[in-house]
Amino acid sequence: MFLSGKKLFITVWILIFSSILFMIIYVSAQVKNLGKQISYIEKKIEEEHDNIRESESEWAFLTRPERIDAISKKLLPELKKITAKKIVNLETIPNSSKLVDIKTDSKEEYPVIRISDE
Amino acid sequence: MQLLGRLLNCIFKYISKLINKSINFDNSYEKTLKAGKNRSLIIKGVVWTVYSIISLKIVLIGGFPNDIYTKKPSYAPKKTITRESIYDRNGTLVADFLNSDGLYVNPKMVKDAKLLQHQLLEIFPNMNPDKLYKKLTRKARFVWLVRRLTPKQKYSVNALGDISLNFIKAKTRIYPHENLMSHILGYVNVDNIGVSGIEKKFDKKLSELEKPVHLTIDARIQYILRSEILKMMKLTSAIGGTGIVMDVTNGEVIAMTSLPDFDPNHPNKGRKNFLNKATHAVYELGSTFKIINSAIALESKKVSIRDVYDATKPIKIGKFVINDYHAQKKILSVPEIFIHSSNIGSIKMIMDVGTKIQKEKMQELNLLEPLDIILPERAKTIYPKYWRKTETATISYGHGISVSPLHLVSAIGAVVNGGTYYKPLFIKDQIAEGRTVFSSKTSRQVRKLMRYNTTNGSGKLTNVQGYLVGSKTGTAEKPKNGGYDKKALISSLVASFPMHNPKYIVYILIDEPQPSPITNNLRPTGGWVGAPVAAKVIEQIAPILDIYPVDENNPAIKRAMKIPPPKNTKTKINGQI
Repeated sequence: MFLSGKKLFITVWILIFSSILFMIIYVSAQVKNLGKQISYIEKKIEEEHDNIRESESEWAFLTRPERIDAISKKLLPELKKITAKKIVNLETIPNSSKLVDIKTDSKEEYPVIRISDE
Repeated sequence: MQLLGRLLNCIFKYISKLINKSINFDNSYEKTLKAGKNRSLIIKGVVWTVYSIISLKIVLIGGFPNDIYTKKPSYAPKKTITRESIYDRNGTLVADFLNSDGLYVNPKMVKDAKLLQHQLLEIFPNMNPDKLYKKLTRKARFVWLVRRLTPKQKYSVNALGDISLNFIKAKTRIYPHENLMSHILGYVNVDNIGVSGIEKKFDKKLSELEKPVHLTIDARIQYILRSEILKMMKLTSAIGGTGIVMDVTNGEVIAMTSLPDFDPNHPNKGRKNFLNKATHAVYELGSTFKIINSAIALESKKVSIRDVYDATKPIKIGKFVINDYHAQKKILSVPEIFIHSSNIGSIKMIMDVGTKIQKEKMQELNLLEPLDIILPERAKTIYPKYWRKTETATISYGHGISVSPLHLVSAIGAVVNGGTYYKPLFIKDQIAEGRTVFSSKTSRQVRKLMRYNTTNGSGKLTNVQGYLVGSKTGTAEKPKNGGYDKKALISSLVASFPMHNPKYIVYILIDEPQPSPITNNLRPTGGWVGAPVAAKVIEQIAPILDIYPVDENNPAIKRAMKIPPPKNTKTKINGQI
């Protein structure tokens, strides 16, 4: 060995201490950097949230039942309210079983009804 | 490696020289050595202490995570004050929190107050000129001018280029549906603190961003209910109206309106309309109470649906003489009492049952307690302190007891849904806890009576083809100066559908309607003003609520709605009092 006893001990100690010091400073800088990145991303997320909320509000304002009703009265005067007479059971339509394909075993919440091309 | 060894040797020699230089040699070798040893010990001690502290800290950080080490650094942006959104049952946004700009003035910087006043009035024509001038000349550095600017207003103010005017970024609560759900949502004050309705009840939850609130209200149904009541109010020059649509199978309130209402975006403009008449006001609701009276009588088994009562003469109870508004002056069966809304018959029925059972059932239906709902605007019922024969009689036809419309709707819900009382719910996915008040047989019988009233009684105008509507009308005079005002009516109607398997209740109340062409200029009773509104509402909401129309001539439906024939009047006439 080039160094022995006390000198070796002090050398090792200095090396370990410097490495730890370096690591602490390095990690601290990294944390600070990442912290800034997180802050930036959080700010961007908040901005996007605000944008989404603004769009949601605009959508809610534009699709108010009052507005839809007024527009439909103006642009679709022939559109009438649904009366009970207009609602019929699918089975009462002649040959309805050939026209539609009802899959009740599907995993979806409601049975899937597909109009046949034939 | 040899080179590194030599280099380190040199460094140590150099350090030793430096140390030796710093030691002041004197004649005593031992003294010097001792001093050197002491210094070396001190240096070692210091170095080891620092080293131990650092090591300990590393072990603590790594081994025992603590908030101190994971908390956000001070330079992270501060979370702005915000408030969660409110949605209806279908996910339609009904209250949101958006960025906006506020405008303030620094009066010390104002050069020409008159000119600035004139310029601002062009942008904000609704501002009071005198108040504005006072604000512009006040001895202060900060005076609010407008809390919430529209983008157009902000552009115009910017275009003035006046350095005394400044903007402040702020967040504002907005209600895209304006008046539609005002009494349910409530509103917030300028500091975004909930003042009434859901905003007040969930103030903490909404402001601490726990999660958005989803209501049981359906914006589409709410719109239909509100607009139909508004139309009737206009036609009959009424001063107000209330409407409720409730799911009787779980107590969820699908729509609830109280008119006139206010725009929660500008609550100050609608101050006089803050009263929620559906939950916070109490009324003597009149004959709609006969649904409950009939249910109590039938449930007691002391009265049968086939029983008959003598309604030929008015009844005198104490100093009061009670008559029928639609006096039939004949012996009436229970279904006839119901459809002719006979006060005499109702009194005789309840007299057979007794005060004790009547009061007990009223209690079970929560009609004597404050409304058990989530909204802060809850009514306390007014009922007689001493419940004697006279009170029992008047309560049987809906007088002498004042409840809120929502009290009544939830009680009638229990009558028609098979007998289970559910408290009204406003928040989606809340667990509905019910309690049995009536038997399913009683419920079935009362449903028959309600359907009979729609086909043959005062609720004819409620009959919507295909939806098997059952109903009961109510017309009550408002109390005035210790008596009743014959011209100030509370005209109401309760309808439920479909009566073979009820799913929803629709309640309509028109406050002080006046005779008009729609009532053939006759007394605006519940049958004239409430029934058509309910019919229009049911016709529009039933397809939205997935209620499939039924064939009313279907034998099974007819059988289910059939009214049993009355007993032979010669056998027994009940209620001889």
